[in-house]
Amino acid sequence: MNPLKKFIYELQEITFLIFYAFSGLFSKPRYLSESVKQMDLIGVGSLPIIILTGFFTGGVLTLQSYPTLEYYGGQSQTGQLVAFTLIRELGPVLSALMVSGRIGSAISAELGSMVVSQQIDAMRALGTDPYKKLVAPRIIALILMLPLLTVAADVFGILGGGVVANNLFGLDYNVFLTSVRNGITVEDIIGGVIKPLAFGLIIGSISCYKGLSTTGGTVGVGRSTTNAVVLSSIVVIIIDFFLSRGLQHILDAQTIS
Amino acid sequence: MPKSQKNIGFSQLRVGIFVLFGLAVLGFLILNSTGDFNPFAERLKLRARFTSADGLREGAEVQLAGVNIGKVTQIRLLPPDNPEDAKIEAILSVDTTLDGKAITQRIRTDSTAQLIATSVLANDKMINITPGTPEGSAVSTNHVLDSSAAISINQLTQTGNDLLQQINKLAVPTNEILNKANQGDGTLGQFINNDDVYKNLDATLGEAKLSMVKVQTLIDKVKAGEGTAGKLLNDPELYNSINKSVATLEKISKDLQSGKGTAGKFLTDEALYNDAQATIKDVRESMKDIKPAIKRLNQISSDFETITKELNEGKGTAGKFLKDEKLYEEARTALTKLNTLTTKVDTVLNDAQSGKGTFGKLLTDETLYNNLNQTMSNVNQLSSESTKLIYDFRQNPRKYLTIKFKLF
Repeated sequence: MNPLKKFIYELQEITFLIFYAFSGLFSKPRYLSESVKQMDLIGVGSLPIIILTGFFTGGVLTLQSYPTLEYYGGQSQTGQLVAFTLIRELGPVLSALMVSGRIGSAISAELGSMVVSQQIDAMRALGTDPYKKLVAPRIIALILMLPLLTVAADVFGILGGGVVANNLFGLDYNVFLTSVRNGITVEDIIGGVIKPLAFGLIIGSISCYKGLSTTGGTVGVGRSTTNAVVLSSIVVIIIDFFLSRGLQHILDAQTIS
Repeated sequence: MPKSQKNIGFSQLRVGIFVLFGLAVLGFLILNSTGDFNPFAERLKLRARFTSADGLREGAEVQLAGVNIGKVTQIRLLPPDNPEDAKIEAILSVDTTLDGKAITQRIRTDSTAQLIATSVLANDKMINITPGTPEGSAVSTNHVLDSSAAISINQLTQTGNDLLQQINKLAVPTNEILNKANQGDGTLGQFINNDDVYKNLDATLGEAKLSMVKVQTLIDKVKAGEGTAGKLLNDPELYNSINKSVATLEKISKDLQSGKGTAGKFLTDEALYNDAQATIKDVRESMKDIKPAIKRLNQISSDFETITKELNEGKGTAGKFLKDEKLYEEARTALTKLNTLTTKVDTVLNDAQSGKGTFGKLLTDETLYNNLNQTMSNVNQLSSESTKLIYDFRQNPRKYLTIKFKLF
């Protein structure tokens, strides 16, 4: 199979997977407890790494941008710059990458080993739809949790930026927070929350597809895990660009072009 | 999920192809709607020439009165033998329509392309096209717009620098002048620091005020008819008097004419004239008698001449008197002595007047007079008493002539 055909084939399979997963929501049985379990696993489980990532990302943003801003005499605008960058771009993207690394690999490996050990076939034989039982709760959990994780990353990123600005550069917290408040608009926050919804869908669907399409035993599980993480990360970054441009235009907030 | 992936035709990938196409269209629409990517739109190519690109880059914005309408697609140097001042040419690609109207309705042949800075700090430039007027005609492709470079921040600072230098130059002498003035040198300094002018002015004003008040009172007085001028202006008496005098004079002249009174008679009566004529006749006759008298007088005068000659020569007593200087000297000493005498007398009299000495006292002191007066009155009394006594003595001589003898 040539690469073009393979790409189109995978795109088609992912589309079907998403379709099956969401169409399954309109008929019983609904596996609500499974969704909650996945939310706990994906959301709460990922919180520590998201907080750490956000905190240090905010810190390093301040660290790098403060001297430049000071050169132009705009060091009091550090908070604005850090908050703007985090909420619009780095918060959603970094959260999505961290989650795709932690959760995408986990989903892909779990479903892949289930395929390899023929548990999926057994479920089918028992009359359980694997899309309903396995795929839908994971995608739903990702779509719901990723925006929340993003908000956590934003908050801790701004906190980290403030800590660095205060302790390393002697900028007062009040100055930092005032510039954060001045710099952030509702459009920024809305744009920053819409993005993770799309990223959650991308990560969940790609990871589930890669897991379910695993072939070749345990080696195949490893390969599909790697593929899932790499592909979801790349797609997240590509989609992020188009989403950013579209959201900028729609929300009419073309302050940074 | 298909069981085998080995032999799949495109017919089995319809959904995949559809999704791919859909995603591609979505991406295209996102970029297209934001204006980043619009391969199908017709573009109008324009040219603008400048002396220097000066920070203008390919891809820089092209604005029409500040509204973004396109981009700079190419910047190239003009050939070295180009006769114009312009050295570079920018090729602009602009939208053909703006708000549903052709852009050529706005960009006319009289539009100009300005090279303006995008910000105060950066030297990046963009091109601003000014809207044309209906007088211009629609531009065509590859039309070369008139260009004008807007003032850049560099030029602005240069101009500001020149201005500051000029001001500095001006400031030094101004400072000196002001310093001098502050120290009180020169007219200006005196004027500023010395309050004499003010005082003088103030005093002058005060005096002027006083004078005005006086003038005012004077005028008031004149108005009220006080004083000569007032009387002159206000009192009709003078006029009346003059009027009367004139009337009197008129009357006199009438009288004179009609021959009344002495003067009238003098003027009108012929008797006087006749008398005068007769008198003159008499005088003429007497003159005849006078002639021999004059002859004798002549003789007398010749005698006098001889006498004076002799006198001049110093002959005789009178001559001596006239010619001898000794007499004159003596007279002079006598006069001097007389002078001294008079001075002395004067002093004595002065002393006397001021009451010095006996003579003075006599003149000025009233005591003597009073004493004398007293004495005189006493004497008077005494005499009256004595008269009484004598009268009494005569009446009763016994009273006085009785001699009593008493012998124990």
